[in-house]
Amino acid sequence: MPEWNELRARLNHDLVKNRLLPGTARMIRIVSGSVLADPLETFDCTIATVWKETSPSLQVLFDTCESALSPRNYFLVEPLVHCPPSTMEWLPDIIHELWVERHDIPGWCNNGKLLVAEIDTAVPNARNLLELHPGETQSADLVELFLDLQKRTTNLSAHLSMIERKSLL
Amino acid sequence: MLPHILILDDLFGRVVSGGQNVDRQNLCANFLWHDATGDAEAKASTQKILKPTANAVFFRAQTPVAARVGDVVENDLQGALNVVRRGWVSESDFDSSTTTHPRWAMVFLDLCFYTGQVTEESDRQTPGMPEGKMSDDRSDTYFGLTLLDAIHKAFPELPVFILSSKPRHEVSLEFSRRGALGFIARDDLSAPDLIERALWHHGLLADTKGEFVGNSLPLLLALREARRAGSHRENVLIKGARGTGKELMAHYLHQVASSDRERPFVSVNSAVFTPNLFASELFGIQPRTATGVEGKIGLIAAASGGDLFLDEIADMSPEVQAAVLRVLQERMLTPVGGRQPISVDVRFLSATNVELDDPGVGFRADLLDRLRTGGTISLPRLRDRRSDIPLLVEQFVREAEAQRPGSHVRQITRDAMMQLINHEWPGNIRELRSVIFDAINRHTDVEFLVPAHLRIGNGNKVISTTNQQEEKLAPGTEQSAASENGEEVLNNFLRLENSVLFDQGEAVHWAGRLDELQRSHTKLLARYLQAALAATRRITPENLSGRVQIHPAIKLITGDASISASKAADLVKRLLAPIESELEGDLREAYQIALRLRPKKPK
Repeated sequence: MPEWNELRARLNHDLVKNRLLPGTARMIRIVSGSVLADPLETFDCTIATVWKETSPSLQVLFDTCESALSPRNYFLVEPLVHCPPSTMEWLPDIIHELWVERHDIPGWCNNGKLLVAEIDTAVPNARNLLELHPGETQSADLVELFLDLQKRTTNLSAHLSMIERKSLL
Repeated sequence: MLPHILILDDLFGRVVSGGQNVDRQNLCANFLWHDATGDAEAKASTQKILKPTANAVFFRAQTPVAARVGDVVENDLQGALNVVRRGWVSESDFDSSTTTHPRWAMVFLDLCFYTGQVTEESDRQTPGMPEGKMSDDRSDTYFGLTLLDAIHKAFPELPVFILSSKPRHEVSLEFSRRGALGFIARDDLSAPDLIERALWHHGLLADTKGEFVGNSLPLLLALREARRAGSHRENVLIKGARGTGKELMAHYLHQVASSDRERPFVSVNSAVFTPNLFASELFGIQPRTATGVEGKIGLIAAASGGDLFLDEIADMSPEVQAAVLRVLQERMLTPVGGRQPISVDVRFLSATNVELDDPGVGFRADLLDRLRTGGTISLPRLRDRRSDIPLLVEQFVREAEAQRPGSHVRQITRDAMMQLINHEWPGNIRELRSVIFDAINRHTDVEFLVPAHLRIGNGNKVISTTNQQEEKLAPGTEQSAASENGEEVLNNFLRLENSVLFDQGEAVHWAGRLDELQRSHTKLLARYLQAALAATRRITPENLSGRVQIHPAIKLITGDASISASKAADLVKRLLAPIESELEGDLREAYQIALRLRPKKPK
């Protein structure tokens, strides 16, 4: 569990909050004409490459969430590891099921994957549009597009933070 | 002039060897900051901010600043404090060679600074960043809080904000306890607006309009107080010695409050309110068609929706104090001759150089409390902001040159500047201005102002009523002092003038100077008339700055209420004719009115 949480915190803090969100904010400034810079070049170095690295890691995070956070893990370490075998046969599984049911862990994971999938689609779309309009600034369509990407990224960050507030036991 | 800010942050402050600090560029673009760091990163930046809101200097607060794989990154408290100190020259450290040193308007501080070795993996994720230690990311051991402690201890007046993507609630109590003014979440979409607001409200910002010249701490603190007070409609008291710029501060407060829309600003010296006339001046006169009484809008009504600036409020008589208090309590007034009270929405900006809390002054405490519900702004003396003197001198020299077409563009030598910096300046900025104008008047054909050109405190004596003792003033300050100190200075001046005796042994020095003396005397009387014209301006809704009236002005200075309008016009003509070519502003207008009324030449 600590490793999983560390990965989640790192992805959320270092990549989503510190790289992607500022990257989308910068793109909004560029396509709205208040900052002069090459839009496509900036997009590639601030969003495309970062997302390429972030997306697979997020997939792993959501795929491993249930097993990594499950209270069943407490039966693998002191002191519950000393429970009699007859108890071990049923108690860890029941506790796991109750936990999953109570916190809707699969729901949280599935929603997370959906948010990732949305950004997976939005990033290449944005790049295509930028390629179609090379060097274009003060474009309402592009501003709209990056505001939408910013919103999706914010939702993803909020989703990743939500698990912190879930009572795990 | 853009605010100069410092950002202490490991991520944004680092230099990426052979690459670019994309994070810093993202931040600058989002917050519209010009990267003024001057390091390799700033030079390599490929973007240009079109309308920057601040000049931002970034510092990592760690060594090495440009870390590579294998380097061990450590926090650098002393290095960070040195960088902070560079933008925080104290008054006592002032050296005339650093006249334009930019002062930090604000410091933005990160919380979590990652330390340890830069590994292949950590460098791949974020170039130049170490892998980090558990203790770096614990809210009770954040290096940012250690930095905050040290900065607040060494530079208590320096405004610091936390700018972090860490959860606010983790450090909410800690950052307040350690002296930070607030916390802005870096990932908050409204962070650019929040930063702009924080800078406006808490930052140490120079006056961008250039009315108040200088970057000294006492001045910037006063301007900050004014911005804070100006953001609401509560009454504000302005305290300051003569010549410190009290009326200028009232205008600044007015502009701060009126940025959204036009509001009237009416200014009046409280000393002109005589017990007989104050009601009609302040409250106005209700017109009466039947009796032929002409209506007049009062000063308070003229300022409705805006600001009324009452200068020298210590000079208010008890009757006037009581009347103003009633208006402040009831927010209503009744014009003279009127029956129906009218409601008024006026912010009172008052100024004084007297300690009104002192019971001996005789100022009503209940009125004083109401005049400062929005706070008190204390203007610093010039000697308490010596670091601003070079900038002020520069401005006054250029102003004086501009008034003299064809004048040389001159410089001021270091020893002359040091003489100006080291003077005590009892008359503050007004006195400094007079000294510079006097020097340029008398030395029109020089390229350098040297100490010999400056007549500072050379024996011209004017008796000040401010502290009831003789002060040495520079030449040219007589008018300023008289206009500020009122009746007593005038009496003292008259006594002085009557006591002047010319030594027969030195009579040769006075030969052929009668014309000059007469001219000087005429100018003095003209200044007296100018003050009277200002005090008796007629304010109307159409003309809130007021209209010049010569008849009431002559009544005021002669003390003769029965004097006729034609006699008054004759007096103005006779007084001003010898200096006709030099007349400006109110005096010129008064002279033209007099000529219209009495076109014939005086006998």
